[in-house]
Amino acid sequence: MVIFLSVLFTLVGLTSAVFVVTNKSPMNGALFLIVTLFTVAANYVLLTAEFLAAVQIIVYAGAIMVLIIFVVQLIGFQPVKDSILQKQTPFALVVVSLVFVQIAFFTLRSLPELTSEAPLAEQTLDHAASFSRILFTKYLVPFEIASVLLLVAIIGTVLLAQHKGIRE
Amino acid sequence: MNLDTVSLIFGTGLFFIGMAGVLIRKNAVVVLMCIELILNGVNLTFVTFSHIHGNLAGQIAGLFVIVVAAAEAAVGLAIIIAVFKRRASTNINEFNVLRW
Repeated sequence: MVIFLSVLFTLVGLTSAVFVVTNKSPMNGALFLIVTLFTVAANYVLLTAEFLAAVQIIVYAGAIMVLIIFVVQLIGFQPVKDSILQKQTPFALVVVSLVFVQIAFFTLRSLPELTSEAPLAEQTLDHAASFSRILFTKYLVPFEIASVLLLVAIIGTVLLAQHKGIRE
Repeated sequence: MNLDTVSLIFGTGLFFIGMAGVLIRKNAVVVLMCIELILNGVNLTFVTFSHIHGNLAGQIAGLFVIVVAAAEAAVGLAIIIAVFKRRASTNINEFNVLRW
């Protein structure tokens, strides 16, 4: 059952990810991106990462996608004269598939030893509690740095959005 | 073929579809959305290995990736709007003032 659901979400997510790249209108691409984000969140639930699934839906599918759709609506649909793709597209696709083949080859070769390590003690019972315990003890410094990063991002966004932020 | 393998395939697929999108699309907003696809692929891989090894460190890394993605999306979209105000275009081939 779990494996069936996972395969289903994977197929739906990868298909809509392809539509994000190939769709002509950015608005449709943004809507397909929401579908992909939800399937990723569903896969998080299957992998017993419930807290991260909730964060994914709230932050990604909620906040970031609202921002992206807002910008798409603000800018409006820009009619493209020739093609939506760059002219070096075939070369770029060749490079991407070469890197993909390389990574897939090495991953498949080392997959048995990657997945053979026995899982540690069961942590799924009280998931959010153990997650936050690690986050606020062992990873406290990165957590504080992340808050500084968000502050910098807020200030930078306000500066960029000001009229006099960009000098002539 | 178990859950972990399928999730790794999903993460890798998202990463490479996003990478192809970043390289081939002209619209700056779509390029930004493809960067989100890449980050999601990496995140899913982090969570999958966290599940494989029974270690929560991967999920913590995933949380930080989401934080960085939020900051990056906000600043990136602000830059796109600021450039759009001057150039009236979202085609990244026309953003070439800093090129040479």
